[in-house]
Amino acid sequence: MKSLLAALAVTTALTVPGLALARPVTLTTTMANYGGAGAYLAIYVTDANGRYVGSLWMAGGHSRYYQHLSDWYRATGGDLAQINGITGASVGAGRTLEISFDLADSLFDAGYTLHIDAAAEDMRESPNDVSVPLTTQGAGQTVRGRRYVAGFRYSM
Amino acid sequence: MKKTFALLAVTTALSAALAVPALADRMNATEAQASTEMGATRVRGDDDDRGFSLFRIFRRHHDDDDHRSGHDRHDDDDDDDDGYGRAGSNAAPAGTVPPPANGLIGGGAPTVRVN
Repeated sequence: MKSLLAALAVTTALTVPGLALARPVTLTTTMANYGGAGAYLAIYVTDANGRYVGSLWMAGGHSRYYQHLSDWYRATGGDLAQINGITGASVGAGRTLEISFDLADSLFDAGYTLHIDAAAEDMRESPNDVSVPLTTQGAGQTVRGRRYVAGFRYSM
Repeated sequence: MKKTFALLAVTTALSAALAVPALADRMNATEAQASTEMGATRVRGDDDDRGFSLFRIFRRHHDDDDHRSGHDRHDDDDDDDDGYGRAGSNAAPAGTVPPPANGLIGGGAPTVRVN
C-alpha cells in the first residue's frame, strides 16, 4: 500500500509541473479565395530578436516546394527534422485549418512572434503572410494576412 | 577456335540487345490488345501497384519519352498532394512520429481539422 501511495505521489509530482508549463492552444487559419491550388504554409515562431525558435506546423508534404516558403527556409535550411510529426496536407483556397495542441506557457507575453509563410503553385510567394505577437491579450483576435491568409487567430 | 568463340559471343550479345527491346514492345502490344478485348480502360496510376519486371522498365521508359515531348513533368507533381510524406525525402506526417523536441509543443501530436 505504501509503495502504491509513493508511486502515486511521484507521478503526480511529475505531472503537475508539466500541466503548468503548457496550455492548450488552437491556431485557426482561414485561407483567402485566391483562385489557385492548395497553399503550402509554414507556421513558426521567432524570439524577440527575430531569431527562429521552432516550427509549429507545416501544411504541404513535398519538401521540394519548401524553398518557396522563403523566410522559413532561410531560417531552417529546409531541415525536415524541424517539421517531422507536425506536417500535413496543403490547404485549399477558402478552407480553414484548425490546429490544436499544447503550447509552452513561456511563449506568451515574452516577445515571441508567430509567423506564417505561404506559397501556392504558379503564384507569388508570400513570406511572412501573417506575423502576430504571442500575447495573452491577443488571444481570440483575428489578424488579416497579406496575400493568401484571409484571417488568423489563436485561442486558448 | 578462339576466333569462333569470340564471334559466337559477339553475335549472342548483339542478338540479345536487339531481342529484348523487341520482346518488350511485343509484350506491350499483347497487353494493349488484351485490355481492348476486355473492354477495360486502364488508369495510368494502376501501373504503380503491379510487380516490378523488365517489361515494366521498358514500358516506363516509353511513357517517360511521351511525357517529355507532350507535357511539363511538373504537372504530375500537382496530382499527388494527398500523398504527403510517402517519399523518404519528405517530412514525417503528423501522427506517425512525435513532434520535434523544440520546447514549443507538448502533449503529443497536434489535432488538425480542415473545414
